[in-house]
Amino acid sequence: MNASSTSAGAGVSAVSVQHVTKRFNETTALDGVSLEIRRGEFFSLLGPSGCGKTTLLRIIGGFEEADSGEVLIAGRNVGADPPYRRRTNMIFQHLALFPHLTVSENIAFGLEMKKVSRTEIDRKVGDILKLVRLEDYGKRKIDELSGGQKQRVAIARALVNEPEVLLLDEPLGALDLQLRLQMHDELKRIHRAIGSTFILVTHDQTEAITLSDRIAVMNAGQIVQLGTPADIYSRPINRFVANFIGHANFIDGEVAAASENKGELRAGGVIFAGRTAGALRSGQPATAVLRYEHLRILPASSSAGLSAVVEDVAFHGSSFRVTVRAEGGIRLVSEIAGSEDGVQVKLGDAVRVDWRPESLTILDQ
Amino acid sequence: MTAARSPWAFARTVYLAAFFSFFYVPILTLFVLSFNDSPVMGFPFKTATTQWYGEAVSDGVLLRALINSVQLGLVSAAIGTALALSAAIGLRYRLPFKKGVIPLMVLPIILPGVVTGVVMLVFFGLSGVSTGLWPTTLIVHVSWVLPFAFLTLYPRIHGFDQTIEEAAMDLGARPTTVFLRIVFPLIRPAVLATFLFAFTLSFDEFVRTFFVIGSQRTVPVHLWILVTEQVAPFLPAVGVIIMLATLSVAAVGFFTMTRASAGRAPRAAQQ
Repeated sequence: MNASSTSAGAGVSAVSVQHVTKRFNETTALDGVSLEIRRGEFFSLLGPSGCGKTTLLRIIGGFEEADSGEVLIAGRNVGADPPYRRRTNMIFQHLALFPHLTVSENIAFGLEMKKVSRTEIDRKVGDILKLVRLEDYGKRKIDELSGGQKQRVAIARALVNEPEVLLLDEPLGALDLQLRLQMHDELKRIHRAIGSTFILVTHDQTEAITLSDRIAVMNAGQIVQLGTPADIYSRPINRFVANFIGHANFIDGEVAAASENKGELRAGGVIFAGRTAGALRSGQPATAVLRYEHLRILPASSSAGLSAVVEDVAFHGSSFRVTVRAEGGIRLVSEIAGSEDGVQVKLGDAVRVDWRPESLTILDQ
Repeated sequence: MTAARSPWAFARTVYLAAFFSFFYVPILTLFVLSFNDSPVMGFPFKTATTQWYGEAVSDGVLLRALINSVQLGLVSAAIGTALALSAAIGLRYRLPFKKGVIPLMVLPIILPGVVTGVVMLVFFGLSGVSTGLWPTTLIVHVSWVLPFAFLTLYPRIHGFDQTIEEAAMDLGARPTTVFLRIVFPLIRPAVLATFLFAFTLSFDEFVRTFFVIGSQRTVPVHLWILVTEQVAPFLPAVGVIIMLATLSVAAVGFFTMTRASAGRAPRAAQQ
């Protein structure tokens, strides 16, 4: 996942953010954020709007200045350097292509600013057009392109400068789902081909999970959890992260037993066994997090788990969501894969529900 | 329903006809008079002649006034547009007293021309600047066209998508380059339209000019002197020529402005 950090420049982060704080009037956009982004990594800043992710990206790009703290790019403190003195390039949320220039002229702009020779520019623009699959569109005007093509021009215009770090400010937000999924593949392919560091800002958890090597989940100007997508998905450190990524059941109760990393939660007189996140002591209030797809539905004849009654079955395309009321009156949702025959349970059925203790996390409230 | 509406429809037609007659019949009269073969300006219409057009174009003083007006128009439009553009750009940044700047820019529009004229005359007299085409009339014209130029340019600059500039800076362009390569090409049609608009304003200005021009003449000043001091049967012909010239400049301005707003469409389409 991170093989390139062992190559040249090992040990030096692509971007190092140290205790960065930024206020806009009364609101604190970033509250002492620290972060190391490795070379060649596809890194995502994920969070709801207003969490500070875009501000952090704009500080790295030089469009905003931090009130305090430091930003190092490839080991160099960039301080108050304006964007044109940084080896970063940004893909803007609304792309910000130059409407009066052609596709080629848009892409060549950065190279012209660096006084690259004409023949070299032509060669590089040709290469990058090939990379983003727009070979025949060089002479087009921007307003003659489709949404997806504009997206690729924006990517090419940034990448042709071979930036140390590519900053992506929710550039796919405006596309429809189909095109967005297509651009995900495209971005992954380009990232693999180029091998430079990508930092993506997004509020779309699916996008972050599919694309990233690592994700920083942000909320209220702070990083809540940092880790690989698998990490964050299966071991959310608190309710916010669990809620923000994927869909999960939250069961409020109190800790019945806790050892080093295993524990039991009592809710409605029922015991839920799982792993614990952080130190918990017996009797304290806590919440169990169980992902929809980790709750299995078994026939009533089974002896495992809890007995339950099906209250709702909803079709969700590739899956079904089954809502049950389990022992102790606890309502739980299970997501099960759909099959051609549809789902095996129906409203009012008596069933049993079960989960593996590793997939249930007990969190401090 | 049609029956009930018809008296209203009739009244409306009459109203509209009266409305536009009031506007355009005098102008039409001017047009007719310019071809009237009579040594006194006025009716009755005798026979048609193009004689007055011939006399109009061969009047040396008028020609001199025309050259003055065109020069003055070009220079004051250029200065006025440049100042308005820099003011509009400056207002994008944090400025002290920013809220007061726009009203102060626009105030000269509502000051009566006579007042401005007198005040300027007194001011130039006190500062010992002799009146004439340059510099007194130029200064007055710049201060006259500037607020209008500002009002046409400000919305265009204010509405300019700043992320386009950020993108250029991100790609290595310094602020000057950003302006020359990105911002100016995009607002050029608006700047051109503003320039033409300012030119026609300067070309038509009479009241303020009359006070500060001294012994020299612009076209409106010359026409005024003709009307008041001598019989000028070719005056309607001059009026028609000027009207057509002004209309064509305004038409060019209008079409560039339309093209300018059409040029903004792609930006919205990027979303």
